[in-house]
Amino acid sequence: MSIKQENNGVMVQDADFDLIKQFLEGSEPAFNEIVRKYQKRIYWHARQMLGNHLDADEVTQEVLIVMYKKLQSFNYQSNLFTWIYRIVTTRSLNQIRKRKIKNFFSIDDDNPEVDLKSNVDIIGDLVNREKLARVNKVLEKLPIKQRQIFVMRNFEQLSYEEISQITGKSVGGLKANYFHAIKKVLEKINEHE
Amino acid sequence: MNTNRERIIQYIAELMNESERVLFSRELESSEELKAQYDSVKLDLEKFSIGKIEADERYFSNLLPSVRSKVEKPVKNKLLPRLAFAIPTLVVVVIAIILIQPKYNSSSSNLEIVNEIIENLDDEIISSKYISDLELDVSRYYKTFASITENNEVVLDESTKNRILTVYDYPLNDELLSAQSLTKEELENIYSKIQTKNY
Repeated sequence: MSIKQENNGVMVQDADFDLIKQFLEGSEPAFNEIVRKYQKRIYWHARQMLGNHLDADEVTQEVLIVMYKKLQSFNYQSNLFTWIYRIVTTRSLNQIRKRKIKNFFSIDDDNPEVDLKSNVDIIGDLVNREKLARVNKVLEKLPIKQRQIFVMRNFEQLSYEEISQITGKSVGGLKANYFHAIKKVLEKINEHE
Repeated sequence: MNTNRERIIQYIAELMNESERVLFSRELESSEELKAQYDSVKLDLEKFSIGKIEADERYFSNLLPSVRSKVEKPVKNKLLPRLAFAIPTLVVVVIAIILIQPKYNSSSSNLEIVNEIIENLDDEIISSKYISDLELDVSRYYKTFASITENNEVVLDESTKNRILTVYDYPLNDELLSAQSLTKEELENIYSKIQTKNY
């Protein structure tokens, strides 16, 4: 990381800490500011993990509500986004597990909920929609942990150290998971081609 | 998957140790075949990346108000449903107490009256009473009672009184008054009936 980036990171962190302090002192606009700053990153991480808008929307709203209620427990040891990311990741994994359980007990193959989920979207452009659908089709074949690391490394360009802080996993373990994730993704891409 | 492809993925995933990494980097510079394979893998991964996708900004504009409305919703009073059950229960209990209370009072006031009456009972009254209510249990108590009467005096201990009270589970006032109104002939008639009765 360059000095400029590092300074920028520290500035972002200080600005975030100021916003948190203001919010905890009763400033509601400070919370609005935090939401506006991070809502897109929260949404897109959830979206890449979950593969559809409705689930991502549900998780995003849940995360924002949790932030509002739990910001007082923020300990200023990590930066705010790592803390937020941890919540998004946990909620997304829970949502995937919930969905798996739901699908397991679902008898009806023609689930109207699936159609609804694929039709409701905030991406207007058809090309981008298809591209995202293609990516999701491959990602959903990966085990949850591999999908998580692949999304964070490939799409969000997070370092192993940052991912380790978020997930609580060792860097070595993350590297091994990423290795298997890449292998599987390449296999699936070749299969589709 | 060939060995080179596996090594390329290890290299990308930073899974190689320092010496392996240095060796691979040198090989990548020297081997065109390896370089081509490496570029191919990188290209596949780049093609697979999502990049910047434009989304409907209205969704993000509405997100905050939507969250705010959920956060600021008045918290449902969890006490109210419990009270909804507790209040009728309380009412039922109060009504039950009100209904039971006079009975209890009357039985306790009867108790005093009965005690007082028993203290002043004489044999005639007792006999007449038992004959008017001739039941198996009553006769048993009467027998017990008769055996302890001597010199025409009624001597009752507390346990006897209580046993009598269990037989008289209702106010005695009226019946005792009616017993007192009996004539001597009537009482003698009752005695004779008792004597002929085989217990």
